[in-house]
Formats: sequence, structure tokens, C-alpha cells
Amino acid sequence: MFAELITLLNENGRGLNAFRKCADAAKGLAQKNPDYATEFFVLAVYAENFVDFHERMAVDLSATAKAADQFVKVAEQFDAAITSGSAQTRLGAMNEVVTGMFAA
Amino acid sequence: MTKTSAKHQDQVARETAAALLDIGAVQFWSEQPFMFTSGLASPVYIDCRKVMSHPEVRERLMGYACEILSNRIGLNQFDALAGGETAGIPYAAWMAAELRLPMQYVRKKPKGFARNAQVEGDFKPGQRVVLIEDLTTDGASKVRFAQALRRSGLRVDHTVMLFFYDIFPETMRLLAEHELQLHALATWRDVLGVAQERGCFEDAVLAEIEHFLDAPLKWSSDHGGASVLSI
Repeated sequence: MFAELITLLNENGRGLNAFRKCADAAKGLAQKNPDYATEFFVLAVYAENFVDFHERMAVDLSATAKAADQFVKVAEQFDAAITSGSAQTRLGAMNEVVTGMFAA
Repeated sequence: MTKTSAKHQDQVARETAAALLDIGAVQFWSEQPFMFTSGLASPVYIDCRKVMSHPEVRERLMGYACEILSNRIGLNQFDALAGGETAGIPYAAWMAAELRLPMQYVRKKPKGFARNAQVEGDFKPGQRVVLIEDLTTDGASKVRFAQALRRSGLRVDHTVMLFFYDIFPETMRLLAEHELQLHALATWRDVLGVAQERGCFEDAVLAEIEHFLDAPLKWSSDHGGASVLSI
């Protein structure tokens, strides 16, 4: 479900432009896939937050790489939760990811 | 119209580069390369916002930028200045004050329910504005700002900034495609030239920067960054 975003991130250099493209794409994909809109929303916010926080700052390579890896991990976590077929697992995954975002 | 001579432009570029080095706006990598918005790794980073905090440098560079507006573009070719959020806003304000011109600023994103405003300040459809920014790396944000100004009915053909990376051929192509002419006070080549003359950095550091400027995609790829430019 979210592989498209991972591909987009990797094919666009895993930098701020890539995160911006992921955020825009996630918003569009939420409209197209309303059953998974919440997951796409969380991914859009994650990507947008990264852009807002780091734009025009002296961000180093390791920080960006870490954020990109984390974005991929979240997308894969959401995919696994959806595949499980359990609404409770999906909700649990989203709560865990959002909690992690606010803790960071 | 008086055109600025190439000799004067070169002098302006050198003085701007020297001033940016003097105020510590130029940072060289130590442990980790910096990363551009495009995902490219870089050994250098420049923070032109520091110019704001140095009145003498600020006044001199704003004077040079006003020369670009009057001599290279022509004061009869535009009606107002528009600062790009956020770093372009103070420079647009100082230049507008100096030239007694109207000013607007353009947001990165629209704001306000229903109003959805991306351009703030008074303006009339068809008004000709020059987009003012602190710097340009790959040109993508200049295009986004120009598109926002045009969506609001303004005409924008020129963008003026303190610093232009000038390392990606794609940048000038992108700006040309969007009918935007770029004017900058200095580039990385100017900074490198002044740094080499002064001998203020170790030879190895300067050599590394030269490698990067000569082949940014290769340098990036060799240091863990992207190997293609994503704008």
C-alpha cells in the first residue's frame, strides 16, 4: 500500500525535496484510498514536519539518512498492520508512530 | 540605462565573497557532509541570513543588490519587490526602503481558510515584481515562489539574491523554462577564489571544495549522498 511512497523517497535522493514530494503524494493517495487515509495522513505529516524543521538549515547527511530510514520503517509498519487484517493492530501501529513523532 | 561593467560585477562578487567569509556565513564540513534539499551531499554550507546581523556588510550588499535592480534590470522594468518567505523578506524590505518601492512577500504555502493567500501586501493584477531571496541552490524554490506570484496575477521575470551556488546546469535550464532571470552578487567560485587568495583554510579543505564544485554529483555519490539531482 505504501511502497509507492518509499520508491518516491528513494528515487528523489532521500533529501528534503524527496520528503516534500512524499508529503504531496501521500495527500493525493489518501483521497484515492479513503480506507487508508489515516495512515497516509500520518505519513504526510511525518514528511512535512521533516521539511519544515530542516528547510534551509545545515542538516547533515546522517540526520537525513536517519529520518529517511525511519520514514520507510513507518510505511512498512503500516503495511504490516494492514496485512494483519486487524483493526486493533492498525490503530496500535498508528498510535505508536504518532507517539514516537511527538517524542522525537 | 547604465549597464554594470563586467569589471565592477567581478569586484562586487569578490567583495561579497570576502564579506560572507568574514562574517562566518561559510561553513566547511568536519565530520559529516551537509545535505542539500535535493539529497546531494556537500562539503560546504552557506548561511546568508547572517548578513542581517552585520549592519556594515548588510548595507554594502544591499547597495550592490540595488545596483542590480537599477542597472541590470532597470527601474522602469518593475513596480515592486517581493520577498520570499522567510530569508528573502528582510532583504526585500531593505531594498524596497532604499528605492522607495512597494513590497510584498510570498509564502511557501497558502494560508488562511477561504482566503488561501500566498502573497501578502497590497498589489494589483498585472503588477511587475522582482522576487528577492537570500540564495539559490538548485532553483526549485524560486520557481515555486514565481508560480505563486503569477497565480496571484503578478508578473515576475527576474529574481535577485545575494548568493547563487551555480554548480548545477539544470538550475539555469529550470529557471529559463519558467521564464525567470537570475541575478546574484556572488557564487561558490567567488568564495573559493577569495578563500584561496587569503589562504584562510587548509589546502586540503580547499581542494575538497574544488572537487565538489567541479563534479557535485560525483562528490555527493562518493560521500553517501544522491547521485542524481532531484529538483
